[in-house]
Amino acid sequence: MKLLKEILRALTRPPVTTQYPAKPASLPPSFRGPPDFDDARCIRCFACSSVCPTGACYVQDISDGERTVLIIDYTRCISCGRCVTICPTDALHHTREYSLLASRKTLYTLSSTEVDVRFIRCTECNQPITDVSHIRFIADRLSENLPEEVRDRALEDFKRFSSLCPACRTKLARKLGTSPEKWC
Amino acid sequence: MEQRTFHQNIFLAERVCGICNTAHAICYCTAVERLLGISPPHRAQLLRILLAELERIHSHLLLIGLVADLAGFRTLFMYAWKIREHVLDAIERITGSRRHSGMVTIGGVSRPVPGKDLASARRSLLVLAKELPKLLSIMKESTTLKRRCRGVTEVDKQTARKIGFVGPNARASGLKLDVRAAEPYLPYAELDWKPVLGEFGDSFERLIVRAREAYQSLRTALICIKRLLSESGPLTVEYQLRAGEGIARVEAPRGELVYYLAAESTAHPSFVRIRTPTMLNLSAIVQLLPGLRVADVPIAIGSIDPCMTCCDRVTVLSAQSAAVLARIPLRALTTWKP
Repeated sequence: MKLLKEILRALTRPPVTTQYPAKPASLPPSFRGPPDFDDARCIRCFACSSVCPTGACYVQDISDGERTVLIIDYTRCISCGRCVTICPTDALHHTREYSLLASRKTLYTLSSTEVDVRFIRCTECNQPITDVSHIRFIADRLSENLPEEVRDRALEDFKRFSSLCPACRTKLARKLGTSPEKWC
Repeated sequence: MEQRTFHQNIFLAERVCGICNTAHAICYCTAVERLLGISPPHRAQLLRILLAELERIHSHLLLIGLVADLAGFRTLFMYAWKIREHVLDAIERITGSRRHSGMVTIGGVSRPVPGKDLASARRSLLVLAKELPKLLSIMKESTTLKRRCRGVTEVDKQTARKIGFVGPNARASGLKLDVRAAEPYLPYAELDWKPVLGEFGDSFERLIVRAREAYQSLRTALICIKRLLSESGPLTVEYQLRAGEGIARVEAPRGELVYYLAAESTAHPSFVRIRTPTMLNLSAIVQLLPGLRVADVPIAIGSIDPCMTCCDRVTVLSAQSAAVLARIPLRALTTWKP
């Protein structure tokens, strides 16, 4: 009997479903759409590509260390939000895009997120190290967090070491006797 | 899982099951936390309980609808799935998506939940609180459901223990088997929570126990929201990776879920093992199938809430004696010969 009442009540009510393409879906405030970049904020540390669980966010060399591109492949993205959480400068954010329909697979890949990487090259062996803005970000953080008495010396050391590639850096550290191997 | 980092595995663990993904994420993270020797902050634990209980409501309502459909009671199927939308709305409001929240992380919860979202989730849960007792009374009064499900695969307490039922199936037979009570991995004791027990242990009772459990989970979730709105605190703790092993048991909507993992001091676990509750429930129900009418078989299998994708293995039974001949993984089935 209870169910009969429920059925009769349902007859008078409007339908719970909505006409989807005509009426857009209502999204919660915390909706996680596929992530998008803010180029000005990005420091090219590529933390996002190293934490991505599906390999949707990846780095591609397009001209042998001269130009590197960061790509988000929407066909692989699961909107887990890990890249957004890990980004140190909040350069990534979730879009409010929910209808990811496309006629061709290539349309899914967000090619507009191509970020230019101006590589610093090692002063010893000319190997590309990392982007200028990445080094600047680390230097800024160092000068912010270090106590006054060691700041200048540390920044000088940082300048010296950050102009070298990892291999040359190890060589220099061994020469100066500051390599961690000493304590191993 | 052994090829991905600890953090990447959270999202992979979440995708083992489409219905009980938060249980998988909580179980995996609890195992990693035990390996690292850390414990998440209190607010993160409350949020985990909230997510787990909302998921339990949605999972139970989904199954009630499915079994009603199997029993030929389409209207109840539609009704159960209609009121399930309220809990999905609440989950969407809290986590940002209907399923696959991606919120549970190692050492706590990854995103804060604004009070506004919690309050709005509470509103849709209050609507559900009016509908759930109605659902239970419809189920109890319905002659269709009763005549199709009463007495099908009736299991008493001892047999339930012997054949290895877990979760609501065991509790429907009166067996007090609940990880939340036996090994509290989250502070359930604070929230005035007790396991729900049935008595008859047949297919009908299993549904009723699930409906009652959904109601109790709703109560727990509402208390949880009240607590979360009134107190604040950190969401994560810092940790350092180390070698060791961790094992965690979690009460998923279908029963006991176990994750075991071992690690050397790298960013990847060196070994991960998962045991899903359906593995136990399914191998238990096949022992009860012989002698049943063919029409009752879908009801019997449906009533244990099977999640076949969580359970990619096959059990081979002898046609004469119903003895278990072999248990084989689905992948090896193509090359398997009797």
